Amino acid sequence: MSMAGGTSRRWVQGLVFLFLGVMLVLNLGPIVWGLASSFTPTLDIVSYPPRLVPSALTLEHYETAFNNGFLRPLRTSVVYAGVTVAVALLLGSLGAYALDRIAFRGRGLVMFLVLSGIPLASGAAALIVPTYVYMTWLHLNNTAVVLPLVYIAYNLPIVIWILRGAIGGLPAELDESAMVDGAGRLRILFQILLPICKPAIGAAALFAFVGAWNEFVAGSVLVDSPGLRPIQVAIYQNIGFFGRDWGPLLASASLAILPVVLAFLVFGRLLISGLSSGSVKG
Amino acid sequence: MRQGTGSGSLTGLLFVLPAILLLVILLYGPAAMSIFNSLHTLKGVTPDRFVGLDNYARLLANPTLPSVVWTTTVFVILATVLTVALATLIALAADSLPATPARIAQIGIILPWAISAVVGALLFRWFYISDLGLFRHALAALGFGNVDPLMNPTTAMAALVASAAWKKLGFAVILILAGLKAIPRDLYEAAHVDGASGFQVFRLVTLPMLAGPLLICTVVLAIADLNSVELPLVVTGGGPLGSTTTVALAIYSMAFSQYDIQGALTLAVLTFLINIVLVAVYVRIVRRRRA
Repeated sequence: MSMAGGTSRRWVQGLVFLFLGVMLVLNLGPIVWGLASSFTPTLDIVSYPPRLVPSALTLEHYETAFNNGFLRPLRTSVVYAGVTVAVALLLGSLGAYALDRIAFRGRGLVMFLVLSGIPLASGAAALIVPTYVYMTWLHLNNTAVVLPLVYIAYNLPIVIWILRGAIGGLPAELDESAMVDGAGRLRILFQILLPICKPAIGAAALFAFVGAWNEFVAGSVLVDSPGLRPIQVAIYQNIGFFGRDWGPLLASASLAILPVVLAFLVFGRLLISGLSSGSVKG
Repeated sequence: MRQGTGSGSLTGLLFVLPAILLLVILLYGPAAMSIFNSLHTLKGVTPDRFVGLDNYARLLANPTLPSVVWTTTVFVILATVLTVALATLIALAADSLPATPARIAQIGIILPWAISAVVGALLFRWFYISDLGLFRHALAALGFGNVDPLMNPTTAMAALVASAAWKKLGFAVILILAGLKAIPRDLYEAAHVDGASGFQVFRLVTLPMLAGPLLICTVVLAIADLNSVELPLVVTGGGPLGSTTTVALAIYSMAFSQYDIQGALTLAVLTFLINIVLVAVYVRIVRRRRA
């Protein structure tokens, strides 16, 4: 390549880096600045112009958030998300196995219901009033089971889709040789196939966890008692409660994103591969 | 689709039954019942009297409906187009990076998508919209004047669109990047041998090969934006003067602030029909790509 070509190539490379850098700053700015501000004394937060380096670090906003009862919704959401992950993985692996390995009547229809369920479940706005009316009609509103049930239903399609893809990638000889040895289908699934699909199980679990942890709309209308309120609803109520007192608001927001951000930093590759493999959710 | 090992209609059904029952009862049940309910008057939450399309007629006579439809159309189209366009540029840029920086860029870019919509909207407001935030100070320092974007309908819509693009960008980047990686390298080499310029390669090789991922991405984003309650609720509150009240927020506040469950249910059914069209497109593309 000529000298001119080499220089222009370096220029292009430089532009690429600059563009990605600007995008990363615009993209991560709110998260990083929000986290930083949650440790900043109130005087610094309201100072004009804003201080890039705080005068001190403080945990006062976290104290304020906890004193206003933020621990309770945090605990509630841990339980909701945990139940969602456990049940969705159990029912999802059974379903994924059957969809991939057993020829049964109605498989096409089941497949269609699962696949449509992925984008449908993200259609929260269109579904929420029907779900509210339906759950009230079933007398399930404001009970401890209503949100786990809804969260499992919202996240089951994506879990089945991811697990089916993983099981589909395993050779049928695995099943056949186990069957010759007299293993039943449940043993084949749980003792032979699933242990090999750990990355896919991880990705599915992460999707279900994040889905349940982040849900707001259903949580805000299907339950009413403080003990049943999930974390996102608590944060939304904090917006009204703290108003322009950004410190405690950002502290509660930081607590709410902590598990998700940590999960992504540790398991980010799993999620990206889960997303890339065609399991698609907005 | 893989051939099953051995047949067993009953076993297969038993395996999928718990999952399918849950989906039918909790996901498809409410949807189906809402169509039935929208043709009746509601007594509390139970359908009472069959009224045909009366509820729809009442909804269409609602004077705020045209504004909601227009706002939703503008928001969904602008947010989806902006997100896909930016994500394509970022994916192309990240594709030219070595593996490690590319992975760091991917994880960095996807974080706003991973956090919840409520917190995302809150952090977006704190950084980009609040008078105490960094962005407005930076703009003021550059001589743009310190104005509140939420006071003006046009800038409020711009803020809402920007927040949606910011929130979903990483998701679109990952999807498009996976599409880029799936393009066979020899196609590029062949184009270079034929003497194609950089832009020609993009237009004649990259873009056609990327059509599938771009389409899936567009449909999923459109569904997500159409149904997003949290962003208009927290970023703009639907204002000023309803100029950022999308159909999702309209349904939500109609039902749970104005307690017009019947009206909200009817509007939800109409929105649901749009969702079904988008979902059908989605299922078609995904099935064709899997086949």
